[in-house]
Amino acid sequence: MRRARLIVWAIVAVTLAAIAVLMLMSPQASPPQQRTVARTDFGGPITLVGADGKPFGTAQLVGKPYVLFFGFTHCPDTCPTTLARLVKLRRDAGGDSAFHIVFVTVDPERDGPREVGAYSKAFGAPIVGLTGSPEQIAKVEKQFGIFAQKVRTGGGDYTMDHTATVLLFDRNGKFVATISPDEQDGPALEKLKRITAA
Amino acid sequence: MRIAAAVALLLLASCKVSEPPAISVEDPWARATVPGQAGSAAYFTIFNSGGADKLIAVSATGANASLHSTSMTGGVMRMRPLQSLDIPADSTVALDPGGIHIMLSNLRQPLSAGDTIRLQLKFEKSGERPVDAAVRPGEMPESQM
Repeated sequence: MRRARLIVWAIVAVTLAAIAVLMLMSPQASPPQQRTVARTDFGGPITLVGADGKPFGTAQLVGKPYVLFFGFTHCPDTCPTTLARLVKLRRDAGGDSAFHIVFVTVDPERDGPREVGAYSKAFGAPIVGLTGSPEQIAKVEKQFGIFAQKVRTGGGDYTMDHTATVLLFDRNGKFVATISPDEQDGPALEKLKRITAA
Repeated sequence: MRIAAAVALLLLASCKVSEPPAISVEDPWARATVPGQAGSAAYFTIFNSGGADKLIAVSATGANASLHSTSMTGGVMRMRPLQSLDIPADSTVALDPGGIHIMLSNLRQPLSAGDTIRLQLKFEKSGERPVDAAVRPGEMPESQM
C-alpha cells in the first residue's frame, strides 16, 4: 500500500514537472521582444503618400492633435475593430473634428493610395489613410517602433503581424501617450481627452 | 490508492464523457466589407449546455471561410489559422472582434449592412449547423468596443 502511494505521488510529481516544462516552452510564456525605443530616437517628421497619391508630411497634421494607427486593409479583424473604436472614442472625446485619426498601412505592396483611401472612408467619419513606398513605410515603422512582418497563409496569400498600439500626439506633434489594443475604453478616452485639451 | 481514485473521479467528473453536447449558436454577424475589399470577418457566440464538443470546420456561401485566432502580445497583433475550436461542457464560447473569428476571404459579392451571409459550422459531435450571419456596418462594432 505504501509503495502504491509512493508511486502515485511520483506520477503526480512527474506530471506537474511536465506541465511546468510545457508552460515554460509555450509561446505565450516567452515574452515578445519588447521594443524599448529611446525617446530621442522616437518619432520625428514623417514623409508618406496620401490617398490622393500626393506626398503627405507631418506638417499636414500639426495644428490639431492626431493619433497614429498602423494596419493593413486586408486585415479582417483587428484593424477595422481598432479604427471603429477610435471613431467612437473621438465622438465621445468631443466629435469628429477633435483630432485626426491617421491610418498608416504596413502593407504597401497591396495598399496603394486608392486602397487606403477607400478603406479610410468606410468608418463613417474622417480618417487620414496613408501609404508610401516600401522604403518610406519601413522608415516610418522604425521611427515609431512599429513591428510588422509578412506571414504566408498559403495559396500565395499572406497576412501581416503588426503592432496594434495606437500612438497619441498633441497639436504640436509631440508624442504624448499610447493606447494598447487591450486597454479599456475608460482610460483610453481619458488619454484622448488629454491630447484634445492640451 | 485513495488519492489515485480521487484523481480518477475528478477527471471523470470534469470530462462529462457520457453526456451529449447541446449546442446553440447565437447572434451571428459579419462586418460589412470596405469598398474594394474581398475580405471580412464573422462572429457569433456558441452556448453549450451539454457535454464537450469541438468546432472542426467552417464554410460560407459565396466566400472562403476559415477559423482564425487573434493574439496580442506586447502590443503586436498576430492572426493565425485555428484547426479547431474546443467547446467545453457547459460553456459559452464567444467569437468577438479582437479574438477568435471566422475570416471570410475571396467574397464573390461585397457584404452590405442588412445582408445576410450563410455560414455552415461543422461540430465533431453535433454535426452541421447552418447559421445566417447578419451584416453590420464596420463603424458599429458590438461588444466592448
